[in-house]
Amino acid sequence: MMKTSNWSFSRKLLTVNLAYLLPCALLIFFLTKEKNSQIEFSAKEVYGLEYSKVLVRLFMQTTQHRIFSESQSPELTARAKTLETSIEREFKELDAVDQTYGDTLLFTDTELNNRGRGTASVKSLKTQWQDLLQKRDSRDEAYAKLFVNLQTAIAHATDTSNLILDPDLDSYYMMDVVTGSLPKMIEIERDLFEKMSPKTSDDEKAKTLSVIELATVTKNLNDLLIRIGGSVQTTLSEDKGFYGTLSRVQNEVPGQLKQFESAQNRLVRLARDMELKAIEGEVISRSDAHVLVTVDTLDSLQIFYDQMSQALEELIDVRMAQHAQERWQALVLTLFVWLIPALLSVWTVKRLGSSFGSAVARLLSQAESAHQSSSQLAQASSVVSSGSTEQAAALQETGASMSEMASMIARTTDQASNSQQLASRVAQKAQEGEGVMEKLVISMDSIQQANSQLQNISNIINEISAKTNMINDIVGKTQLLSFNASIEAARAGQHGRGFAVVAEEVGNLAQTSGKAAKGIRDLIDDSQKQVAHILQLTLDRVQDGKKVTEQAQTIFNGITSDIHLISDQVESVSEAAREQQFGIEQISKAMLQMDQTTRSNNSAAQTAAQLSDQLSGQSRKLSFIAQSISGLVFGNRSAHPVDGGETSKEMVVSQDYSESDSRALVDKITGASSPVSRIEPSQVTADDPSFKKVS
Amino acid sequence: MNAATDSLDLADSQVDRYVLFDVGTMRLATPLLSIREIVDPIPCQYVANPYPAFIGLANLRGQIIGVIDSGICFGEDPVEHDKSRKLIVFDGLDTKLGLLVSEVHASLAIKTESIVKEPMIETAIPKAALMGLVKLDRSIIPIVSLSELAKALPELGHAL
Repeated sequence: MMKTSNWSFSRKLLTVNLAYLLPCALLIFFLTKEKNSQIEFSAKEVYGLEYSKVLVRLFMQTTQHRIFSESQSPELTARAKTLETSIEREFKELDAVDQTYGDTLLFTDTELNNRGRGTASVKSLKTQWQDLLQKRDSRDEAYAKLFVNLQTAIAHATDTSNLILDPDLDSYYMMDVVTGSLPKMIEIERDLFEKMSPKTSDDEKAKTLSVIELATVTKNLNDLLIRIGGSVQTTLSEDKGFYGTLSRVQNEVPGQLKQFESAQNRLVRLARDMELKAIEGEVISRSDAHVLVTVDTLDSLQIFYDQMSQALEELIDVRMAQHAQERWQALVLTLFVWLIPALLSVWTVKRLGSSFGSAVARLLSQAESAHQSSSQLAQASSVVSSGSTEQAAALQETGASMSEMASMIARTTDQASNSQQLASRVAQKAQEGEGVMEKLVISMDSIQQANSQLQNISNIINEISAKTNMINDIVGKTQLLSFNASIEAARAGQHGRGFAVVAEEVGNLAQTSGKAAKGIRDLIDDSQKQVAHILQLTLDRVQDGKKVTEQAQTIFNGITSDIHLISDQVESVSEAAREQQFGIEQISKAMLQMDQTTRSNNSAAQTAAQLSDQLSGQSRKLSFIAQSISGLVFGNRSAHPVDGGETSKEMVVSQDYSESDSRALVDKITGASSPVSRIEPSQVTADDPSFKKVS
Repeated sequence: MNAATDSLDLADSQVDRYVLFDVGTMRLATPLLSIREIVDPIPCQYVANPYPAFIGLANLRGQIIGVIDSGICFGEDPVEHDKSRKLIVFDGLDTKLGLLVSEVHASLAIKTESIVKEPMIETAIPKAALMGLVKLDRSIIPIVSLSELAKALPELGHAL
């Protein structure tokens, strides 16, 4: 026997779904059966109605035949012949209906005999009719037998077709009208027609009795008419929400009932007139007019019967359609009731299958990764252990180097401080030099102004030169005048001798003055040249000096700003050196802590190596757990151990194992790495209760 | 040269007075009495003529005089006509002439016996105009006759 515990989740869910399908199928079966029985019930009513319609027509026509046959009028006798043909046709129709529904409606001889209705078979009825036609006289008994058997057949059709068991009030009352009241009315009207026949006896008592019988039959007819009206009204006023309303029936039947009642009341009034006449002592006599009124009344009854039977058939059809619709609704609803959970199950299985599949695959992958990680962790732990030892030595060397570096930085700080002071002094000197340069520029401007004053002296010398030229001109003219005076004195001869001497002296003076003036002019020219040369030279030198001074001032400004910059940078260097010194102190402290941490790491690495072994074993167990989940979800085919060491069942772990205990293990590893909370390797052993098996 | 001393030495001997003037680099002398007057240069209007040394006509206080370039006359460069020059006015053949010279230095009294007449030298000075040579200090100064120079005017300057 297959163990259901090995089934996959989808298989279990499919089985549950199939199990759920069984009550749904039973529900569908019983609902359908119920509705089918109701439909068959109603269909049987229709069969009975079809059967009884032919019987009622036969009953109607044979009744009319009797009425006509009692008349001596050739016209009515001819109508009786016509009716015979129609009755024959109806019997053929009855044969056809009997062929179709006879077995269903238990119109077999056996069934009829079992019920004491053997004379109501189709065959018997036909025989009775044929016998009746063969008789020329004394047909009353044959008519009576035929009428009784026809009514029996109608009652049998009503009984065996469930019409008498009609479950709905509207169709029930209509059934009562169609299968009970209207055939009864035919019988009453036939009886009434018989009661209208003349009495030949002179016996008063017999007359009175015939009047009473006429009145009684008339009352019965009237009562039945009232009953039919009430039944039809009950049908029309029945609950419209039951099977819905038939508008045609609601609209047409009241008018049809009114016409029917009008026709029937005519016969009632005729009968009552005859009653009154009989009571007043008149002789009651039945004429052809009475025959025609009776036959017309029967015709209207036949029409009303057809209308009511049609209405009844429509009511039954509505009920059957309602049952068919309810059958389909029940079927569809049940299918939905089953189909929705089935689809949800399929969808859930597919979703859960894919989710569980990927989750299990990831779990297996993670387990494998954990296994590999544990191996790597073991290797890394040994590497960390050896590395920690090397790191400790390196830290000591680094500590010594840091001390040397600290002393060098301290010296650098001192030198930077000295440089800063020196830079400050240089900056101060540069500012002083800048002030001197400004004074030098001012001095150069003063020299330039002095040169301008020298230019004024040059101008004065130029004026002296102009004046000297003027003196030279005067000297020249004086000399020229002395020449001309000498000439005139010479021409004057002896008389001009003294004048010649004066002229000569004047000429000599002029010549002397000219020489002096020439000397002055030479000196002035010389002075002018030298002054101009000095002026130009001074101007050039002043310009050069000014340019040089400005350049020197610009350079001094640059030097000053550079010195400030150097001072700032030296300040920055000094600040950086101080910060470096502080940093070195911090690093030294950190190195000390790192040394302590390295020692802790060394022991932690050893602990991690031991824990990695435990982690490796737990990763294998994790793999078994994943395979167990896979077996739980996908069935037994995937639930097999990886390395054959233990079965999945053996390795099923309690629900609270995986997270809490793994976290505890990780906390131990991480806690071991922390210098604050170390744990000893002895605290984690193979007997650690952090994981446990569930047998 | 000291003219005053010279004039004192002339007290007992025959002396004539001469005017010393410069023509370019050359210093010449001419008798004082041959000169009408010495004036500063006056504006000169050139007039077409066949004589290279004749440089034009000038208006001397309303009297028209001819102006002669002494540089051309004595084989020197032409004398520039500017304010520093002097114009020696003398009587020519039929009109007064002005000789444009570079400079007039002095009026000297020179003993006659100190003059070497008709010297046997070849100079640029027209021979007819060369009256003689006189020695003053360390230099020898030709004495020229302005009237003779005027006569020789048609011949002067053609060699230029």
